[in-house]
Amino acid sequence: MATKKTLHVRIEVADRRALRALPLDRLDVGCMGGARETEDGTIVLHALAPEDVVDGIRKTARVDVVADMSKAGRERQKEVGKGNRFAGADRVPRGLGKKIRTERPR
Amino acid sequence: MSYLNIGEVDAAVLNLAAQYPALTQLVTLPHQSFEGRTSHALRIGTAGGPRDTVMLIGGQHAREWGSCEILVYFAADLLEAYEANAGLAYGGKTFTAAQVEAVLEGLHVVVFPLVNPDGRRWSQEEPGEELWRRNRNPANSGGDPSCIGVDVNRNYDFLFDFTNKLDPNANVVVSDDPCNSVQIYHGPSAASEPETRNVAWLLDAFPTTRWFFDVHSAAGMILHNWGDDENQTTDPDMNFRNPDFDGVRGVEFDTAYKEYIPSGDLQIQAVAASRMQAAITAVRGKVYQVGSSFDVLYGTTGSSKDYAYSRHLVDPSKPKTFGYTIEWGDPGEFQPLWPEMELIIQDVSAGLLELCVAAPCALGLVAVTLDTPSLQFLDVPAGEEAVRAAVFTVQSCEAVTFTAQPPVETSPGPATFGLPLGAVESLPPAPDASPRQVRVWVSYQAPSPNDNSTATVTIHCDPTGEDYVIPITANTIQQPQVASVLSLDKSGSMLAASGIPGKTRNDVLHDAAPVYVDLLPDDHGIGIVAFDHDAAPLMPVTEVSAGGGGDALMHISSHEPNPAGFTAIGDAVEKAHESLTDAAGFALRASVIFTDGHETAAKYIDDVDHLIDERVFALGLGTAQELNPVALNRLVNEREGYLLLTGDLTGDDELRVEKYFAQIQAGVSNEEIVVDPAGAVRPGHVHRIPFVITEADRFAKVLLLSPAPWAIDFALETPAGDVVDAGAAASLPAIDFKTGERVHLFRMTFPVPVGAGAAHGRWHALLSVNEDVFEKYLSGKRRNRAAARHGVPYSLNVHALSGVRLRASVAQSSYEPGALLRVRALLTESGLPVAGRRHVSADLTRPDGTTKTLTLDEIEDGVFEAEVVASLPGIYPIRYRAAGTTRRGNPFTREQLRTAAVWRGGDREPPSSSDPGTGPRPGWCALAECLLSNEGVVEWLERQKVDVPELRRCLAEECGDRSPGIK
Repeated sequence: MATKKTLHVRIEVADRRALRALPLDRLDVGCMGGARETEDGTIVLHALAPEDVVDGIRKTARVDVVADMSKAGRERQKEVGKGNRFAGADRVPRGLGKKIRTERPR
Repeated sequence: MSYLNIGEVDAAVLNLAAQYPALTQLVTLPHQSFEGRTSHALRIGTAGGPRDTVMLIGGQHAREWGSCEILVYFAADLLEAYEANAGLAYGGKTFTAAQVEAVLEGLHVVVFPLVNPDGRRWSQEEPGEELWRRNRNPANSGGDPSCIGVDVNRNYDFLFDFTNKLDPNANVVVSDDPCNSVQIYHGPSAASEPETRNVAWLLDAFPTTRWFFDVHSAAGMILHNWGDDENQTTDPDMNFRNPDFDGVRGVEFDTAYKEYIPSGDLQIQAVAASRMQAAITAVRGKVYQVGSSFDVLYGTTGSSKDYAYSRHLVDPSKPKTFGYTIEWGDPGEFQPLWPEMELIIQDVSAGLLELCVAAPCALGLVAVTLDTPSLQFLDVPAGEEAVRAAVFTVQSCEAVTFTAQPPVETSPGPATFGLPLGAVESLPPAPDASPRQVRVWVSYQAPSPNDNSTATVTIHCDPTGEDYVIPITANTIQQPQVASVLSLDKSGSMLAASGIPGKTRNDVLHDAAPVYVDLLPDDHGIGIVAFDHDAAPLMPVTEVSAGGGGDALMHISSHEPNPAGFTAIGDAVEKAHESLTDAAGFALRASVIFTDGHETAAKYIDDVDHLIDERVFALGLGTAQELNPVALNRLVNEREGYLLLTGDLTGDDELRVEKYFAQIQAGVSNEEIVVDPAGAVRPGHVHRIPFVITEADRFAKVLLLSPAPWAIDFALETPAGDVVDAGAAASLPAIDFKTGERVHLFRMTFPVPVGAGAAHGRWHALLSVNEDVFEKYLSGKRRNRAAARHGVPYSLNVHALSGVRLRASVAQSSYEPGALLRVRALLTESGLPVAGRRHVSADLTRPDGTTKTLTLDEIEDGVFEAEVVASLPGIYPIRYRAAGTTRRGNPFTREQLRTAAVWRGGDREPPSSSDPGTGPRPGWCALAECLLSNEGVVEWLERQKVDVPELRRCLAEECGDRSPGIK
């Protein structure tokens, strides 16, 4: 599905009417916070969208590209663990919280 | 370190379980993913009894990689810290060792870090697919790779059918198109996906789950219920289950629909989210936004958190589970650089641990929801007292007290509102914050018909200090009028001797059935049906005051048996039902059957049972063996009535059937029986019989049953000592005196305007006999002078329309000797069972005449029971006696009679037309055919005045094709 470049964009429109005029069926807003009204009444929306969709909405809205998600994703895939760092029953994950040792009796 | 692949996530869970066996339980989820992967979850917590569970799930959306790492490392932290007796620090947020210990010893924490392994693998390994969100189920893709997969977090059974449940313009992020380009396809049906079913299964497997967190990215939010629309706390009927709101949900800023959430639940959810927010901020300054997911994120259907919370509303047997979604990170940062991800893991871990620390006892809150924002007393019959409860749900470990001020009427009028059980209701401290309900009862004394009243009651909650002002509305109606139909047996056996000297069973009917009619209120309706092997309505239901009473008495007096008649009780029940169905203008309907034999002809009761929806009462004249009343008993018991059996009558039972008719009439009219003593009064004596009227009694009948009521001077003495006789009653309002052949009665509506007004208290019935009148009585036709010299026999019955009600029943384990009888009574006042102020006993008379007094144990508030074995065949009359005090402390008595019966062969199935074995045996029909073909037999029958053509017709109907010669 992701053969085109996908961008993370911040879209700003004047009001809710303008928001509804966006091609919302082509803007992937899943888990990205929804449309928020700013103090000056404009509406801000974060979304993922293919480059051609982004180009299309530039005509009716202010669009800032936050990130090239395709490029970032490719980089991040390289950071995924290879093999199994927990192979063997004695290899347990260690939490990231700092353990505060006490002498209190249990 | 770096992101975990799916094998590492699963291995981490397995190894934590292996490393900490005393602190964990490995849970294998039952549903494999489409690609065949088995998922695991981990339950963390020391061994011990049942306790609240916090459930954490992650990895539903494939691209939100860090969710799995958050949960794996959070689980590892808890286990490592507990085992080391250590506290935990995440940046600037610290937790003590005691807090960690309290979490593992006071809760279960269930961690399911990777719900969607197929999707995560695809996102992590396939070039260009790092933003994959769904699972990898291709079933609905139509072969198009871009259409593969379902958004698992839109697939749960919460408003799944969004196209019908929501407004077409709803602000929701969900689609029913598998190929929509933004990956929000909800699937072909609710819980169609194995990943969804695993989460639902886990909630079922941990039924103490009180908190549910679904970890997602990326928006920096803590979201609570609901997701389908804005929240509201005032209209419980406006909810996702109510089809009246289908098609209007999900539109922001409108008023057509907002999703109901109890105010106490919303308080807990919001406070918990705020505490988590503060803990997250304490780590390194990140401020997560808090609110309902509809308000803060966008609208959704089929999400896990709404499903988790909705479960207890759809199925009240399930526990209440508060649902949350955590959206970690900054907008769009689904896969941040690993160093940032490590910080996010600490942020969210601090929030989750803060929740776990606070979770017991509802975060220390006293969360109160008023479940009844208004109280309504609708259509209360005039004169009755009704009660309603203001219901509060409390979630707290603390003691809570509710104190009501007396209701304040806001409309002019005579209505009276009160607090019948007092002004204060309290809850003691509790070990956990499971929802507990408190009821503050409000009463309404309905004045005259068509009253409309409004009021408010203010209830103060301590310790929250909140005052709840609850509006009350009330209206009254006329006392409901009852239509009843008497079905009278005219089968040949009614010509048999009754046992009372000189009287056939039909004579007994002539004496007793008029009592039923004489006791009817003027505005009730009466109809008559006569039956043998057929049934016919003799008169339609007619209001007593419109001539119905007189017509009914005439039909009873002219009622004659058919010597060749069989007994088809089903026909009678059916005809009575039809008459009642045709009767308009009556609020209640009842059928009363009088019979002296078992069913010998179709229609049987079993044939028509399914038609009957009115109350049914029955009076059986005869022994259990003769009546074989299994089907009749079943019919009446299932229709809120009862069956009274007389057994063999003797000369001492002259008033028994009258009393039975009187009791059944009271039952039909919803009247209570206060007392019913019997005796015989002679000249020179005054019988002064006490009875108690309570403030809950609004109308009473005092009836004197006697073979010669005209021979007894009958008067009433009020609690103040004033005497009212028939003459005085004629000149007073609110009381009248009525006479019948075998009953005289006073009817009173309280207060009776005598003296200062006579109402509740101890009344007396005064009975005496004048010497001259007694002589006249002794000389009466068929009077046994020797027996009659003991005096004029009577039975005094007091019936009341009352808020104090006794409901008596007897259930039999069998109809064979040796059956267990469960004798049961329910005592209520204004519909409320009230404990501890009553005593109920039952005098049981065995078939051999011996008696036993049963003390009924109060097995729950207002419910009394005793058991006894009926070892002898025959009828067991059971007289229930209840005594106690009303809520206002005034004494009352109540009585009821029921009969049980056992006989050999009692457990045979009653007859039915659908049973080929039912009806006359072929041999019997052949005999009848043979006899009726004999001229001598026919001539003899005609000399006996038997209507032979009618006899042939009857037999032909019964035997049909089996004996065509009968015709």
